[in-house]
Amino acid sequence: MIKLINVTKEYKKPTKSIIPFLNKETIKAVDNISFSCSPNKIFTLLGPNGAGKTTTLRMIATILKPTSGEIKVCNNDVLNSPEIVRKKIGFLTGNTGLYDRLTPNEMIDYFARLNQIDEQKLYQNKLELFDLLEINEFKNRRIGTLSTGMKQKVSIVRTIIHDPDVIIFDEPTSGLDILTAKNILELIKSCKEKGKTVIFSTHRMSEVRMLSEDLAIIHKGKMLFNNTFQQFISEFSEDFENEFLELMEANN
Amino acid sequence: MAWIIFKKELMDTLRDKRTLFIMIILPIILIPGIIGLITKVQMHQMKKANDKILNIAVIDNQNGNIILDSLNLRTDFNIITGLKNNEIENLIQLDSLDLGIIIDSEFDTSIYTTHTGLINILFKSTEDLNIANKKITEIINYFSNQISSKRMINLNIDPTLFHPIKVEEQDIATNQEKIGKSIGGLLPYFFIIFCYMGSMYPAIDLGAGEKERGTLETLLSSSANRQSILIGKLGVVILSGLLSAFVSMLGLGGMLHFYSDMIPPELFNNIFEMITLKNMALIFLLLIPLNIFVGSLLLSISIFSKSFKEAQSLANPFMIVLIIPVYLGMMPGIELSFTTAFIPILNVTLATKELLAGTLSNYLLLIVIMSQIIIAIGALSFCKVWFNREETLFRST
Repeated sequence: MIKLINVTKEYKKPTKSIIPFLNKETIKAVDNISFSCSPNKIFTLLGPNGAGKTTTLRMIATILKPTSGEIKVCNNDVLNSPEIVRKKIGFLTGNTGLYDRLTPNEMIDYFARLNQIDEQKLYQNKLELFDLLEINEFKNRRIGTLSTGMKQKVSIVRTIIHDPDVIIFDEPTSGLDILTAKNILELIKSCKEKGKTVIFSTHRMSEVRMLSEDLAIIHKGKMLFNNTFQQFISEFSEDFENEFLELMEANN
Repeated sequence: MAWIIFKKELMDTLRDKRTLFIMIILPIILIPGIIGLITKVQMHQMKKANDKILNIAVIDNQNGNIILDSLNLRTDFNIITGLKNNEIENLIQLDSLDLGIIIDSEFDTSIYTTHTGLINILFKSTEDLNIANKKITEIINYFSNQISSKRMINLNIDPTLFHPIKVEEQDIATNQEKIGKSIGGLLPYFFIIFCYMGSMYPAIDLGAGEKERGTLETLLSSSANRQSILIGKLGVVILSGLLSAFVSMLGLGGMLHFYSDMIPPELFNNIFEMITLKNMALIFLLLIPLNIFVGSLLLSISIFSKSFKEAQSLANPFMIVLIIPVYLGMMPGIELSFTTAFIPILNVTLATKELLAGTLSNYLLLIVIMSQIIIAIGALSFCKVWFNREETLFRST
């Protein structure tokens, strides 16, 4: 369960001043947004590049601190209990990198131990996920020598090895080929089926159409729509892509 | 948690061939090898220049036999006569001649009538360490002194009349003091260079490299808190610097041993007598905080940078800032005092010199260690604050 109440995030405005530390001007990357994501559902955050999606997801993952407002993950406040929140989340982005000089085995062990799961559970989860994603054949090869598809499989296991309650996907398919992207979309679906709280951001309409149940549209940091995907279709029209573009233009 | 991160970062770092090369191969083999080779070539060149038979042209104008006889007796001179002034100049220019001597036509008359005889010497100061000029000047000075003495005796003047004061020098500095003060500064110099080089690549890889690979977000969203992440990373950076510096010391020790034939045995023994366990332990005590200081600042630079390349370009000027105080400490006349003991880096160089010379006082040592600890804590605190700033970790400009 994720809950955001009136969340705002301000950044210092980029400046070309020779003394950047004196720059006091700020811009709002996220402006007073509220929404909630429930277990067993896929929540989609849709918006163009620079809309504030990544900032929102980073705040949920405790990587960034909100300037104002409240964020709760499984009833834990991100500001007061960031370590508890992080134990409960898995975070995957499309450009997630891996350590090239480690093997998949070492990489997974490392993140499992960072997420403090016991050795027995680590062994069981690893066995199950390596079998499922067919990682065993390359588990002891250096990651730097693996193909993009193999690396993505390792990233998936890294994200869910500690069996998190909440899984955050930040544009998880960007830059991936069709086959690898399909694996990720399958993962998102299976997480939902396992009763996880799933939030994913995208700017691709096709993915929204394929996965989305709850939908939030964000543009220039502001929330333009927050309801179910079905509601969006019925409120506007079947031509989802056009409606989305019109909504953007109206708010430019 | 910090231990888990430290172990992983160490394993990752030790698998990087570039880091291993800079951290271990370069200090233990390449640098001592290059220094030794350069010294050997220099010594060989000096010997060659000294042993070389010099072509010396003479225009005597039927004068100066007293000197010419002496020159003809030397086996290392090939005396050439019959050339003209401009020919000598041209041949020296073409490196066919090493030196030309032109004795004035009034030379003999002048020196036997208490006047000054003139000899012109033509040479190229850029050639062969100036050996020809030095050798000829030495011979001429010898005859000049002899003629002076004879003139004084002829005039019934005691030659000591012109030497009213005789200085007898008695150097009471021990060999340890002399060697310690002259080469003691080299130890921190090498240590700082290798500590910097050994720390630089791991620092860049563990900060900017993490951003470039896209692994930073993954790490920050794990259960590890930022302090543990920082401690784990910093631990590896500091250890890499120390390891590199330690290996460089081994390399230099090995070099001394390998080229021991080039060092006078007495000097060789004195150097090894200075390298006691106590001295080495104290030097490491001085250098560890310095290493923490260097590692923390390098990691701060790396965390600030958006890419490996940016981190490298920012870290390079930092090296100059580090080296300037070390150079100052190696200059003669700059001593460890109550004031200089507080100046970071410079104080380490000066204290190492005093320590090896056996003249380091305990209270100055204490000030230096305290000063080093303070700057190390300062750099660590800065790095911690820096690592917690969102503007640093996710810098957009």
